[in-house]
Amino acid sequence: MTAPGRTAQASAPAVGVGRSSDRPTVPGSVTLGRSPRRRRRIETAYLYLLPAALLLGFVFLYPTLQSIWLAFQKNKGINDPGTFNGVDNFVKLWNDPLFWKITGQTFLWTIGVVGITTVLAYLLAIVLVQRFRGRAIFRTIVILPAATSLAFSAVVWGFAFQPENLVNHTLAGFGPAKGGIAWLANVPQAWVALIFVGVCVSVPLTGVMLAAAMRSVPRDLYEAASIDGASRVAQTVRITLPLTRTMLLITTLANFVVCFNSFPIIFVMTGGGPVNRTDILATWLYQKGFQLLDFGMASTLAVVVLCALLALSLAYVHLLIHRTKVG
Amino acid sequence: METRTRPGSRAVIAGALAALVGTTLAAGAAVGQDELSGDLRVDFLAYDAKMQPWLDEMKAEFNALHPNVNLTLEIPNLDTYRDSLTTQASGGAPPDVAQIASSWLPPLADAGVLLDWEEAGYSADLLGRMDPALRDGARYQGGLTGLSYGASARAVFYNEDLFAQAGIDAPPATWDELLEDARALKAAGVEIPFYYEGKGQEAMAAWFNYVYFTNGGELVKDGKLSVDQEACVKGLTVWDTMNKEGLFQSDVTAGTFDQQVATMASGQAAMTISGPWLTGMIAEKGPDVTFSTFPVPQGTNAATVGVTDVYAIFKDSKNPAAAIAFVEFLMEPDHNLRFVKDRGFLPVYTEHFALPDFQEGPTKAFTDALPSAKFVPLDKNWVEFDKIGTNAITTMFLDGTGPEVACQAIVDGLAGLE
Repeated sequence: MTAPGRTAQASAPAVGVGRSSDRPTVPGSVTLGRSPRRRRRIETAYLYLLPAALLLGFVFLYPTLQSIWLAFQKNKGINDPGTFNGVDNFVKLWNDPLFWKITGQTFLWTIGVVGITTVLAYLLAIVLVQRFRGRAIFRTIVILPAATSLAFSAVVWGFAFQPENLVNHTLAGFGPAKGGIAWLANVPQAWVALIFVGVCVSVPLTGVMLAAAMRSVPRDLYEAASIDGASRVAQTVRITLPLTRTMLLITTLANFVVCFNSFPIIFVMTGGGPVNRTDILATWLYQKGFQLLDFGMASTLAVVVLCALLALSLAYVHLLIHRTKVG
Repeated sequence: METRTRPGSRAVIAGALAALVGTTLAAGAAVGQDELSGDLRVDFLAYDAKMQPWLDEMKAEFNALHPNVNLTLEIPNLDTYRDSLTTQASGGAPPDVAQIASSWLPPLADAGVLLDWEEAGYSADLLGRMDPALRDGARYQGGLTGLSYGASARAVFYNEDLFAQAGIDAPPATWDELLEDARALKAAGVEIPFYYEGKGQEAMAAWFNYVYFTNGGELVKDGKLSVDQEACVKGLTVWDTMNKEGLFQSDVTAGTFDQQVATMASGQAAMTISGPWLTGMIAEKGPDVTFSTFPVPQGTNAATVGVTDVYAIFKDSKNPAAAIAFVEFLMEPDHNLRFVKDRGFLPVYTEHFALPDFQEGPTKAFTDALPSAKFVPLDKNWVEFDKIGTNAITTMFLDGTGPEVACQAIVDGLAGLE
């Protein structure tokens, strides 16, 4: 069975760019083979892109290149001109047990948040696509946390997780929190609190995105399955899950990239402490750069994180392209 | 045709010129009285909630004298203030003047972003009236890059009722006696015999030094940061023993300043160490609590920890003349006296120490302790050393690794610093 959208796309008349791209081209003579009008259009397009490109270059490219340059320098202290030291920083980082410990913590944090978020967001999406009274209000309430700044959420949750505050008061009736758990004073309880907050701020938007994907699943599939006697659970597992798999992968990967590099929640709630036990690479980088003023090592760390995120982003882009082709 | 001026007219013109010159000179004199103008940004440390009203008053009074100075007075978030100030300084856009902890001076001074107050033309009269030790304690490599505006020494606060309840007649004079008293308090059912601020920013600068300095420890040797391992172990053994015997609050590494105040004011905690500001805070939040102070106990010797905070003026200041004038205004003895009294600090002007505010009541113990107080050395590696030490002590509390391991980690960490 073909989705209606696909049929419409396939039968649509080829217009504009599509028409030109159908023309056979000779490798190396792409521009020469185009009409002056088309060339003008391309030039105009690039002209429109130029301000954004310049801005991006200034905001992202310049600091990135600067960081890469600093990563190969010994540069410590304010206004230190720095001295080139080759790959010394990378070797030092590689041999630092704390780097590996914090890398492990980064994956613990990322997988913890993304894993739980994915499951909860999927369940939330199932609820969001149902028809029930007050659905609009429910959706608004669900999306509200996504509109709140991460730093603000972290401050509020950090306060709530103080031993004498909201979380312990709420849990007091259940027994384990009597006397007060110092949530942020040591691991593993600090990780429980941090991942909880990470999940809370990630679930709403992910759930809404998944719900949008679920709405695109043709209803006749469910009707046919119902006629065949499939239960709601079977319909979810056999129809919804396979047909929203791509969106699930995309949201998971996007959350992974964001979470891996997420700074505000941990920085505000624990500052990476106690004793670096809740640090992730992003918060450690901040400490090295802005507290210890070791800009060389901080940049080295930034380059390592950049490479890891670049790999993840490429996978993300690949998935997006793949999904677009499929769609 | 030659134009002639009549003699009478000359006199009129001469008179007019004289009037013009006179008016110009008078106007110049007026400008001279208020030659300061332009923008001026000053950052202040977020000591307490009373800071903002005080700043508003100071701003109004200063602007009454210098209406053309556009003052921006800010109180940044204390947790990230040092980081943001460093970033601003390295980017060439710091405030004109900032209140900072004196331990922040070395990296800023090394980077050459600070002005020397004396060379910048700050009032020699005001400098001369300051306590020489407090003034010169902010000198780094000979330069007066910090201007002390308030000081503190530390002492032990104790709840007199809880001591009486535990049958303790007199406050302890040594760490051994304090341990015994803490045990007695615990046996008498006191919830927190001693409150330890384990999560604050003073883990090394204060809490380590309380037990380190009083066991013969010195932080500088041959002009460099140094740790005496024997004094370190002796000192940390006190904290480690108290933690293991449950004489601190539970989850000692979560202990904050706010909780320190709250538990002392509510009568839950029997003892803690702090500065003179705690006097007012306990009195305000727990008016029924009867408390007093005693000197930091001795190990092998008597000592306490002293702290000064300073004004720093930045070389990138666009308005150094107004900056100096404003700080001189804030440091006028009357203005400064009000500031230190409001904060619960000790003064920096010699003439103020004789005032009843600092010679009577609980504050007297701090005034008396100041001359023997030891200060954190001004060293470029202090921040990193502070982090190493804080981590070592926190690990000792969390993992029960013991003082030997903690001190070894501090010594090793220090050896790794350049």
